[in-house]
Amino acid sequence: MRILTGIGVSPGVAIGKAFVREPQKFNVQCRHIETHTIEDEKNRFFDSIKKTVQDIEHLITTLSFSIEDQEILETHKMILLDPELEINVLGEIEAELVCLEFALYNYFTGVIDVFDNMENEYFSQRAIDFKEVAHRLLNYLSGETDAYIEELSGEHILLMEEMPPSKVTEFAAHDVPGICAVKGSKTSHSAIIARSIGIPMVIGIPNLLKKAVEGETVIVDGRNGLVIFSPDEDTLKKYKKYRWRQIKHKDDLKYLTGKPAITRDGVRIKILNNIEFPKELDLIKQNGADGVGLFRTEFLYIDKKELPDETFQYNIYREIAEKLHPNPLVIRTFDLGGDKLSGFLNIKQERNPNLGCRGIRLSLQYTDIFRIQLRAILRAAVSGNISVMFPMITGLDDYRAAMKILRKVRAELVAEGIECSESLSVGVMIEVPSAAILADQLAKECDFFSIGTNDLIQYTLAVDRDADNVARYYSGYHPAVLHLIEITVNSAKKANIPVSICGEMASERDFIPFLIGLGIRQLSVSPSMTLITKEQVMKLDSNALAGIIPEVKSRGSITEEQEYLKQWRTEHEY
Amino acid sequence: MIEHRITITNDHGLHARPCTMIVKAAIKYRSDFQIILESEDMYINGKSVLSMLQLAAPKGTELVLKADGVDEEYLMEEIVRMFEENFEKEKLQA
Repeated sequence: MRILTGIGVSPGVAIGKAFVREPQKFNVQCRHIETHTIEDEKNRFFDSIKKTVQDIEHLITTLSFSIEDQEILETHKMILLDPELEINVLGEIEAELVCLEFALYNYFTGVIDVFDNMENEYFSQRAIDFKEVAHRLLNYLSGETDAYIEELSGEHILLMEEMPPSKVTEFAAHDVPGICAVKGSKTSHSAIIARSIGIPMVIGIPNLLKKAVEGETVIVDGRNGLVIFSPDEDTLKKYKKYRWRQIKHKDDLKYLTGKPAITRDGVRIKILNNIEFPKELDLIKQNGADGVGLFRTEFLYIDKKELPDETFQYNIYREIAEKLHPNPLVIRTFDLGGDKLSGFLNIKQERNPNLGCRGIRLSLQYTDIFRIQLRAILRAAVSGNISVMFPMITGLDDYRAAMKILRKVRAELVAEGIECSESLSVGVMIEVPSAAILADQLAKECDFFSIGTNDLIQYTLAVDRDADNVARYYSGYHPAVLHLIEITVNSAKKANIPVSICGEMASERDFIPFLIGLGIRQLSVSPSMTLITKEQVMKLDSNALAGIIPEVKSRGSITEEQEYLKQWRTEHEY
Repeated sequence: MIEHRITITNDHGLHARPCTMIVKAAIKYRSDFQIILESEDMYINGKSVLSMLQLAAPKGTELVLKADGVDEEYLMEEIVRMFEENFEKEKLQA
């Protein structure tokens, strides 16, 4: 039995056979070309460089590894953009009349050879960088990198170097029960998707692929971040039992699918979903959520790698809204940092992207992008129950600036004679402490609030939730966070506007009584958490919850709050 | 055209990270940029990470930097500063 420890990014247990996906080897044939196709071959070169550079930039910005990893990727980018590469490869194509693949292969083999033969070990190690870049290019050109997916089945635990975000749904479609990767982070897109679908996933295990033996039994423990190879009998038994309970619990909850979440004393709580991809709509139906409380629109960029136009966005928004109708669809405008758009916009690298030009700030700076998105939303809102919300609002000034653009965009649509919504409801994400403190003011002007706990915790406690060494500071049970949530909810109640909560706290069992006790009636959770959240809500009696709030307020530390809420729940579970 | 003589003082010499930093900085400018290892009679393009890595220049190596073009002074100033700061500054910022 071998136990490796990583970071659990999607909970649950999976048991299966190891399917090791090694970084690929390449095999290149020499194909001769005609003089008149030289230009085509050269164009393929420029195209493959462009796409590979985009892929690397995408990796740098979307998957936050260590600084070392980012530096390596920067080096890879420079290797791709190296003038020597261009001169040599294009020169060989023209002089020898060989295909691009062969010219690339020759070039990289030569370079790798030079490094392999260097005496100084520090430099000879660099051969690996050129190998990786060569792989990326040749893989792109061969286009056959995905053939292995067809071999996957319900018994395979997939072990890879890094998880391509676009592929997780494909793995799920092949019933892959669990995923492990060498690299990644809790907030990477692949992790978000794995949580949403409910596939256990563990990442951040440097020697994963070296330790794994193809076909051996492996357990993925997504809650504790463990990967266990060839478990002994007791361990396997323990996990099988756990998994069985997990499946049974899931099955037991199925009867809740079509039922509304109502507390024991008859208070209706709406359970909404956070989604990222239109593909997730099926999951919403399966789990019987009451609509979408947070549609993250970032994927429109991240998957496409080019600026999505109005028609493209309109079609997606409309399709989702129509499928959900009459249930609501809340669209959050792009919540991207400038770093994620370096491929399209000329944005300077920021020292501190989380405190930089992101969310509504980016939308207000690059108004063309914002306007296109608002046009698409206003048009789609005719076909369904759509509302919109703005991320990273810090106070009235941001909100008013965004509203000014929204009104202008609507007037333009009307002037052009294009059908659009007259009464789109507009909300504010409460995720920056200043917005929570000023919730009273914001509530007078906007139509609803949505509290984003993930960022609210991060900004209130000044802690990067992806940084391992400060992870212990990141806690939703911090009294300051609870206080800000309370201010927000009270302001919303006073102004008589709805307030929902999206973010991982919305589906934490110990936390739900506090939220309902405050008066929150909408919880937006990951699709896979829908039924568990419903079950939890249905155990509660809202009359008994009123007493929680003064108790919570009287406590001053994270530990006390956490213990109190946990104890309350265990004592009051029926 | 301007030249500047410099000695590598950072621990591992011109390895991947310094090379990447130099190229990233150099390609911002229009001037040509060469790095010369006189002892080996090697002249390399300072905007090519490959060529620079092939120098495999360890700590203590003496190099000549040569910039030629309209913005040569700015280029040289930035690159020389990187060498003098042992390629540390950007690492701290990152």
